[in-house]
Amino acid sequence: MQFLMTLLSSVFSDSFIESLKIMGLGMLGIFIVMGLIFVVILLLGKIPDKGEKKDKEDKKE
Amino acid sequence: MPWYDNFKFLWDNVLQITPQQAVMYLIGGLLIFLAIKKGLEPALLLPMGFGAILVNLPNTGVLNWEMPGVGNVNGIIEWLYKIGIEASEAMPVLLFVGIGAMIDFGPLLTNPKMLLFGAAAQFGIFFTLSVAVLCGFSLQDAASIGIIGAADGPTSILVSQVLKSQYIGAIAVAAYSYMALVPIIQPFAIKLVTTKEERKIRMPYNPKKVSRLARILFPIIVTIIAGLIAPSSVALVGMLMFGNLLRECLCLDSLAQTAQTALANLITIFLGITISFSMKAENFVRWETLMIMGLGLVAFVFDTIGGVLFAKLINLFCKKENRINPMVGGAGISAFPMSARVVQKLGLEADNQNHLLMHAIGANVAGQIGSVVAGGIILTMMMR
Repeated sequence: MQFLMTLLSSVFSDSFIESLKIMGLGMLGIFIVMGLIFVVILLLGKIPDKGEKKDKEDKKE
Repeated sequence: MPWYDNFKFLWDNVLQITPQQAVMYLIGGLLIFLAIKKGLEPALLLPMGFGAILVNLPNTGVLNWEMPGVGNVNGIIEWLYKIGIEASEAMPVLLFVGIGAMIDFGPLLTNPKMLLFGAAAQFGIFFTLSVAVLCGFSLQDAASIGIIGAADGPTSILVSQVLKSQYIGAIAVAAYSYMALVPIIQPFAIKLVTTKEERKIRMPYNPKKVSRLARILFPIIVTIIAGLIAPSSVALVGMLMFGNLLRECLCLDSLAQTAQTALANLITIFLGITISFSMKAENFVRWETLMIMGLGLVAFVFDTIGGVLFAKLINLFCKKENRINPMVGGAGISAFPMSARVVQKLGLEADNQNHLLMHAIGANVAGQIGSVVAGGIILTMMMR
């Protein structure tokens, strides 16, 4: 019973509300950082490999 | 005075052993047993177990003590802790140079979609943070406990140290123990939220070449992005990426080799035994330690579930031939390469031609970035 009372009081505490806020903003923050890194990788993927470049030039010749 | 009183100094110390210290000898012994006999993260659990015995010997000389007539004498473990962890978090941070030098980001660079799972599989950290608050822990302690879900020992130690958590010893033990138990925890969590049909989903692997320039630019740009958005993560991300740059520049082979082997080994030896400073009986033998062990397990389970459910969510918007095996999402935790191996094994279990290893490795590597970013974001948010 005492545990339930503690749990209920914790649910309505400022700390719990704050922790939910941290959960929402934290997950959003991680997705934003990872999303930006995703874009960077896509852009880096456009950089041709030196070996590949050579092959293409050889083929042209 | 009886004659044997002259020898009292021989058993004086023995009589000072408290029941809590005796419990710590058992815990130390258990950690050593798990390390040697079961092969669970031996590089860290063994030094931690031995250290737990050392720091709990009465009037131990490995902690600072007062010598009559001489004054304060420094103990080696307390000194290492103050210098290597408390003063600058140097040990966990420097370990990241070694880890960065070991990681090949190639599988991630060829399949950047996997980054999303590295983010989703950090859910357990934040979920556990809220549960810990419900269990009565302060927000700082709850954040430190949640970070066990980073599945990354150095990040857990660093975050709990910066947040001045009083449970750093229990957090380190939980983080390393559960990392070692990934092959047991993850199959259970994955099977809880997937069907056999979903586990059978095949994913073709089309390896692409990654240019050297891209490999060199990646660690630099990631550091800048993480540093600008979550400045507190720079110590972690920066050192991780610095180690990776040493590896990828291909002109510092001997430094990269040193970082991967000598540096990482040296720090690992001292990190384990140094962290045992926080395993003094009065700090460790209490109910909160058991709660932290339980919450650590919750963090690992919900990390996995978060990654798997996110993959299932993505599948709702994908064509049938482009579907992702949801188990790959579960590999987005930082425990490398155990988590990727677990996914590969489960994939083969469901369909003996289903090879998911390379996809899972991509997600696993993304999890390593995700976990340090999560650590940095938690620190940034807690400092506001």
